[in-house]
Amino acid sequence: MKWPLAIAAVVWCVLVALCARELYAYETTPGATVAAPDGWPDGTALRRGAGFTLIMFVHPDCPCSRASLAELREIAETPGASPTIEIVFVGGGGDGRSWDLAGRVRRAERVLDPRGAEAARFGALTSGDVVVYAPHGQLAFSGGITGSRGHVGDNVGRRQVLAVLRGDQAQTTHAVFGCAL
Amino acid sequence: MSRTDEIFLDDIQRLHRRTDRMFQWLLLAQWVFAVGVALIDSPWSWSGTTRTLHIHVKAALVFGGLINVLPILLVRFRPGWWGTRQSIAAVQMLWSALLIMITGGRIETHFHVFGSLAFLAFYRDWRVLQTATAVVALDHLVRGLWWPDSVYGVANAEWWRFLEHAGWVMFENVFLAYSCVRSLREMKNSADREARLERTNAIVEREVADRTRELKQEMEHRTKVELELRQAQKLEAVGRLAAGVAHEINTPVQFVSDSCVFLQEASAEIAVLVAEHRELLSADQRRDLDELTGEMTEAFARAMDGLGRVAGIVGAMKEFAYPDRIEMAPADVNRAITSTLTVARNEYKYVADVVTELDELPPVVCHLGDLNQAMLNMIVNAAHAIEARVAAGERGEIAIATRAVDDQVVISIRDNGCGIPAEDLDKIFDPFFTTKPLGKGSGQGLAIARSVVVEKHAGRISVDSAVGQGTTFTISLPIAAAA
Repeated sequence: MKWPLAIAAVVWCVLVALCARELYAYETTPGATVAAPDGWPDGTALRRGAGFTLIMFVHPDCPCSRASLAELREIAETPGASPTIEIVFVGGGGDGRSWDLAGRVRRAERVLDPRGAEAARFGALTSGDVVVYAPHGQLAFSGGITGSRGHVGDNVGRRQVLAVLRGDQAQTTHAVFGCAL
Repeated sequence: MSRTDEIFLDDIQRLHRRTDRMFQWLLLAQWVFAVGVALIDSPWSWSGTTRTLHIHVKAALVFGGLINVLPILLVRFRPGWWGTRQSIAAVQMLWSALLIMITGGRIETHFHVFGSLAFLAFYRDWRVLQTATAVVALDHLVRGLWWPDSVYGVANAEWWRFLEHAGWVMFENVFLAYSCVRSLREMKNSADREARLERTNAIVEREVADRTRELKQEMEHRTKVELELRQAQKLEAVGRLAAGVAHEINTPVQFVSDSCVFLQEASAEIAVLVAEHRELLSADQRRDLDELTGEMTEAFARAMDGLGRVAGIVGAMKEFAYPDRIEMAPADVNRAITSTLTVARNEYKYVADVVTELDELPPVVCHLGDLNQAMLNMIVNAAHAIEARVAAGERGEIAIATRAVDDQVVISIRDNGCGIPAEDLDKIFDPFFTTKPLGKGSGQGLAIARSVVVEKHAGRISVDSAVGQGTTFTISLPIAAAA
């Protein structure tokens, strides 16, 4: 009885470890990215504020988007950070959950991008991709603002955006975690 | 192992089994909950307009099911085992990690860890808390080394950062472990109290059993005494009646006997007178006279013999049934035996001959009436034993012998009857024990004999028997009255 039990326990431990590794890997594997344009692109219909302009591209149905929107809400409510915020829903409004969540982000404007033209213009390939442009139109940040896929909480990307908005940091990037747009 | 330890281990084992079962249901409930949350919150993963089942749903179903398998099987087949609760502790922490992941890292879900630790403390085994803490620490260590941003929110976390998280878990564990130790101490005290109560109950039950046994013995003794008293009263009544009848018979027997003697003497004188005048009679008359004279002589002899025997029986009955005194008195045991044999003759005369070998004995201080009764019972038993063995027409033998040995008189009553089986030898003196057919014996004879010899005369009675060969009862009586 002892040996079969010990063998079963070891097999179980190995399977649990392998599954956990797969899950962690999935959660922490960034989505695809391309370099965003260094300057404010021509032909875009998105509004550009006088100060910093923050644009987030989200997939309307991707569950990971909700974590990104939650982090964006944190940024929008951080004292001293008041960028113009555009939330672009690539492909449509989806089931409305993310759309509603986006509506709660202060100073944010929700924009539909049915054909993904704006996403392509700004080089966004993954839901949750954020670009921040400085007042003079220079790219200040590109990347995600979650620490892993669909995971809320303090993370490097969010802090980088806040640092940029405060003027404490030069141009920087961060990995994006989310569904492909 | 002391009784306290036994009770304590039994209690703790039941506690572990009960908590195992509770966790079994919790694990299943968590599984269902996780699948439900994943299906509602993140059913699909998207790539443009293409959707696939989200990994959260797969993780809840497959990973949740996988981690549940081991502890649920252990609860099923090894409930109460230390390994079962250790596996439950580990898996409960894995559930915390999985639920945190499925709910997108919500801070509220992190409370699952602390709730689980409190629940694990139900085991009152601080070691399961250690295991849970180790799993939390390992999870944070691994993720901190490979994916620090996902768990600490920074890209380059210090390697020891996992200790900070584990430390807060330990913080709760310290109090829970203290509570476990206190609870165990209380359980031990409770077990000790229960063991003491059991001991007290055992003492009380033993006391009650002893008292009940004594009461039962007392009741049996009282019943026996009542039976003996009733028997004695009956015998006394019969004895008085027999003594009265014997007295009434004795008087007419006496004057019939005196009259017979007178008639015998008178007929002898008449015969002399007739002889002096024989010449006056014819030859035929002289022949008839001679025949009559001869027959009269024989008739008188028979009558006198019969009267002598009647007188002997009456005398024996008077002696046997003589009302016993309250106090013991010197008596002739041999004469008592002879009287008893006369009274009991009807019981043995058709099946046995009696042989007596009675040595000269000093007077024995005794209750003569009781002693007669005891010997009568044994002689009747001997006759019955012979009757049970001998075939019709055959005769057995009852041998009675007496002798004086030091300060004792020894009486032996031997028969060559059917004998007593060895397994019955220690029961024959019990009241109501009998192997005789219904209506033949009451089972009181030898019980009364033993009571008379042992209890009333401080004597001894023993038996030696062989089945098919016969039985010998030996009675020893002190010559002087026992103090």
